[in-house]
Amino acid sequence: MKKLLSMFLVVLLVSTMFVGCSDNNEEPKEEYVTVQDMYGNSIEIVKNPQKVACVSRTTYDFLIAFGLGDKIDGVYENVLANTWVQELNPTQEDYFAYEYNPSAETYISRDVDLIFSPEERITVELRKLGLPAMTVNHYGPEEGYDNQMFFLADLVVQLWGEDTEVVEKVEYWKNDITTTIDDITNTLDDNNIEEGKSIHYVRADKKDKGITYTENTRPYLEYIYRLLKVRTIGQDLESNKISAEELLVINPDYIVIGGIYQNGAVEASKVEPMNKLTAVKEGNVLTIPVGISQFEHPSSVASVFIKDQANKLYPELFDYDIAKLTKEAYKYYYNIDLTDEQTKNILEGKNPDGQYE
Amino acid sequence: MDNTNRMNFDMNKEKKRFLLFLVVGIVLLFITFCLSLIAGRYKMSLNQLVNAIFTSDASFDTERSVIMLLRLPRSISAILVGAALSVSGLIYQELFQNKLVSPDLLGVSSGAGFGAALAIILGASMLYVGLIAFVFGLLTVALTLGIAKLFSKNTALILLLSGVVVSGFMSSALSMVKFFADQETTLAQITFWLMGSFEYAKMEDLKLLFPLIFIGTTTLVVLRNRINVIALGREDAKASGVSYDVYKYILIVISTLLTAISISFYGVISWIGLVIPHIVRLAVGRQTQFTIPITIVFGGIFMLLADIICRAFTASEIPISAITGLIGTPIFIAILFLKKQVVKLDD
Repeated sequence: MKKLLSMFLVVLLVSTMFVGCSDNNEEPKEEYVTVQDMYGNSIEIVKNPQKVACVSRTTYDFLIAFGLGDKIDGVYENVLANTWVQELNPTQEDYFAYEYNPSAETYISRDVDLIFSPEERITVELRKLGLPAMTVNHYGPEEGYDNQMFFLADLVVQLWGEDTEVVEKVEYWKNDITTTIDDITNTLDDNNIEEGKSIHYVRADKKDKGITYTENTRPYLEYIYRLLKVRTIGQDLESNKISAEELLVINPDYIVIGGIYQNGAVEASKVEPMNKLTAVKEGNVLTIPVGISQFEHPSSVASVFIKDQANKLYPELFDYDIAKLTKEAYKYYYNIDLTDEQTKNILEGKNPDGQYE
Repeated sequence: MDNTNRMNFDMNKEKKRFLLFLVVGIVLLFITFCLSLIAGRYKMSLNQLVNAIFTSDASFDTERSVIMLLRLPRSISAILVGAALSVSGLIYQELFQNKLVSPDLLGVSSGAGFGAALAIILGASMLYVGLIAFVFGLLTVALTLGIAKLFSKNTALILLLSGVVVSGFMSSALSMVKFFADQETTLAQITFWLMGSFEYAKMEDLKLLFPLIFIGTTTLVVLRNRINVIALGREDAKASGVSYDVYKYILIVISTLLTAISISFYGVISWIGLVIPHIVRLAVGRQTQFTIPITIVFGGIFMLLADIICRAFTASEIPISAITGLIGTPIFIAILFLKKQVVKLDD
């Protein structure tokens, strides 16, 4: 009898606990959406994320441009250190500054819904710990960037698609890119321009590195220059450094200098033996604008970058008004009215004070 | 044959062998030097090389630039640094009577590495990176010597232990600096610096590098007979009327300066200071009056060869320590094997 009574009490207690759990005031369930990352992995992400860690340097600019600045929790510290970001500060927000590879505890303590990570190896480790991380960068998978151009734009629609303003901006950006690519490739085809010339991209994000530091995978830049019918020499290298002698052997037709230390690289190209390169001798050393984002990275101003490079590579075929286009893009995406001087500095790769870093 | 005659006979034999190796070494050094001017990614024939060097024909401008601005400075630098690190290694090995010692024993490499990394993350130019590396290299050795002094028995063993402890500390400090470095940019720069390279060698470097290494190595050549006595240990040195402590510190200072100056210009270069003295002893015996000049020559050859491999086969330059390690390890194992055979034969 005692046993029966004990069992009854236990059953009653457990039942009470379950009744307590099925409270009618339960919080609404979060809705999840399954998305694919750049590497084809399926990831479940909460729909309409409210706290995003933009640790990948190519994400901050996009989210702001698409009107999602209030969803950003923090940004990679080097992006925030960009003097143009400090000067123009499109959202006037004081974002948390993330390191390149913050600890999992940092993300957990900040309670983020989504992490845009810069490298797949970092993403994999974060995901093992149950964190909602996905890789977004300007390299893409091994086969190249060809199918990644709209990756982030499409992802934004998947995650924040209920916001019509966001969708509208994304569609505007995608149309702009498509039109730009079509215009340029059609013009090049009409003029029978074939891929043959070579270009050496100099990654001038280090001081005193001359012009031998580059990108050696098949990144976004390789895709853009392929559209422009020039071949990046970095894609054939074993590492992101090329020796001075190898550069003399390859002797590229063009040198294009990106990053924030452009001036140092431009000066280095004028010094012997680099001044023996055909690109230097023929004045084919180009520079890449730097604003809120470096134009050589995927960004809201991607179409301006493509047009700028088309102008520089084929001055006889293209004459886009890059200053006007830059001003329009900054107005549309960031609601910033650039002055003539600011525009000039951005296009010349200078900082807001009109100086080279 | 009595003992004195036998010793004279042995000495003459060693001297003849020394002269042979010296002549062969100098010839090899010259050949390797010429090879280093010809070899590289930018292919050029002997005819182009001669025209570029000995004529002012404008059609050889690019070849002239490659030789005079890229290959010549790095080849001379490689010879100087190879000689400096090898002879420093030999001096340390003789001084501490320990054949596993290398020139960074007292912490000069770890100290210089920490200094360079600190300078890199602070955004210093490469000139200051070298200067700060040099200062920290010397400060680290001073710290090692200071700690050793604290002990009443200031033996070679205490100095060795002190070097290990201080090196360990500086390595941890370096790890801390690397942790704070920007992973996208400066961390890679620090890593490359720590692996050494002659890629950025310039003729201007030689204005400082050449006199310092020349004076340092010449002093060691001049002192080679005394070093022989010092290598026998404190008691034997005293019995021979040589002030052991004075010479010990002079030799430590010279070797450390040679190492520090080399590292501060071209980064940390491993193995050469350990391996070359062993090869030389195998060739000409233990007498430092013979080993020091040969070490200088062999060190230059080894480093030149390593540098040619670094730059001639790949589009990007391979760090020098990667090559010295890859070549040095099998050579070191071969030496151990050969020495074992010699010991067996002696038995």
